[in-house]
Amino acid sequence: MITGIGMVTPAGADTATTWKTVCAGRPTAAADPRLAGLTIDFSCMVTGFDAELVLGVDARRMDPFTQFAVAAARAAVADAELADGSWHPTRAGVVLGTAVGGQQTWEEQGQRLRDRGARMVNPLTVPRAIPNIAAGTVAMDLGLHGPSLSVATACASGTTALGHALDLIRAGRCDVVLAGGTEATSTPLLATAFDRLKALSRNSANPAGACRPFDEQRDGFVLGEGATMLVLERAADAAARGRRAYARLLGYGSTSDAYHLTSPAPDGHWAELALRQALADAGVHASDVALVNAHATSTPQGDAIEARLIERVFGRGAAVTSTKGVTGHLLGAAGAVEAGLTALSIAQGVIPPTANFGSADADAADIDIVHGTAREVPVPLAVSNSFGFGGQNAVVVLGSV
Amino acid sequence: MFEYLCTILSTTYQVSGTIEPTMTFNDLELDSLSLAELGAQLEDDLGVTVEEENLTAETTVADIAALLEAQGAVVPA
Repeated sequence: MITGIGMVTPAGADTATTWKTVCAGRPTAAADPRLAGLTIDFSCMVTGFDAELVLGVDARRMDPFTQFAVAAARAAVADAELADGSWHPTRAGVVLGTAVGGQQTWEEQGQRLRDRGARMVNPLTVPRAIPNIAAGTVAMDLGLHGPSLSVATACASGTTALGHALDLIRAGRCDVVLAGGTEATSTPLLATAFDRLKALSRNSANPAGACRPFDEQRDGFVLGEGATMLVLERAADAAARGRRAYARLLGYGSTSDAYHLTSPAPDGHWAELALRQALADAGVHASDVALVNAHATSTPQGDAIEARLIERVFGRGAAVTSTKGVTGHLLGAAGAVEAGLTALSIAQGVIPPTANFGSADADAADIDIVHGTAREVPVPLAVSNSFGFGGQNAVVVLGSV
Repeated sequence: MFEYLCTILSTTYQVSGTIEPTMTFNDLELDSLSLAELGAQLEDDLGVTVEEENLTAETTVADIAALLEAQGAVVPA
């Protein structure tokens, strides 16, 4: 069961604001002062989040990717109404995805080394920046003494983390798992490096319209930042303490294209297999799925391949949305954000629209893309897709309570 | 300098209670990570060099204040 959701995203520094902004289909991409002067000078930024206010002076020891994770984890636990000490310490764990880790720290300290010399490098550089430190800090902050796992499957990391968390619960290794993803990669080097790969939209003239999932004019993704953490626990445990749940996490599928460093396999075969594995793991049929929260980052090739595989599996039977039109692409956090939003779609009976969708690309002409306004419709069963560089595919299936 | 040190110790490093000049960093419960941070912060803020052996758990606040003053450190405005 998903009994708590904590979000810090470009669409809002909390879950309620994020949900409202996403349902309004209001894009968040804007000029980013951290990227001023670069070819890519815009991103989807987290605003209204004061790390020191939320986390106190300890925030100085954390890269933003850890700050987002800890804030989201605290919010998720509070949302789940889990009081301090309500779990057995060694039966509670954390599984956290990140594609890159503490990128801001690496870049800032590298610059200090070049500009001011070795003595000016912060001695906390390594513990601020290593990819596992966000999970480690969440465990420290909440007193979780069970497994603390960090998952790096590029842009599938958040979804992969949820799959492994589900397995920890199902295997009986944990009673409570905080699972999700975090990322803070709107940095000069990352923005430039992704641009050099031709992965990003260059629509600096109209940042708000830059991320256009499934639209024929899409030209790349927009960097986003933030975190989402979900509280997972068994249905019986949630019921025993009288806690309502948003949704059930029912199944997980994972495959590798084993094809190319950055390009997905052109026929989408392995991604489709991950989707079919997830459905089989959940014990459900494709025809019963009402919603697909697509990976759809707004790249020409990736969206086309995903649209065709969605059509093969669901036809027009499932509504499709890409919430990245609002949030941008949070890389290793994307799957967690989207699973959280999918759980809210199930709980609220609302499917957010795909922002900036105007004319469907030919490859996406035969799927039912929700756009314009949110669609109010029961969502008993949904899937959330994530695909990463290196050909790593992860899909989760969520159902109503 | 002593007042400046008291201010950053109580704010950034959350040392509670009254800080006496004769107190060591061990008395103030600063761990090795915090001492490393403090040394880097002093070098950054004051433009001086603080060698590791001069900032240990046994160093007193008065010791480090005197060291900084001897190096001509000026409290930032």
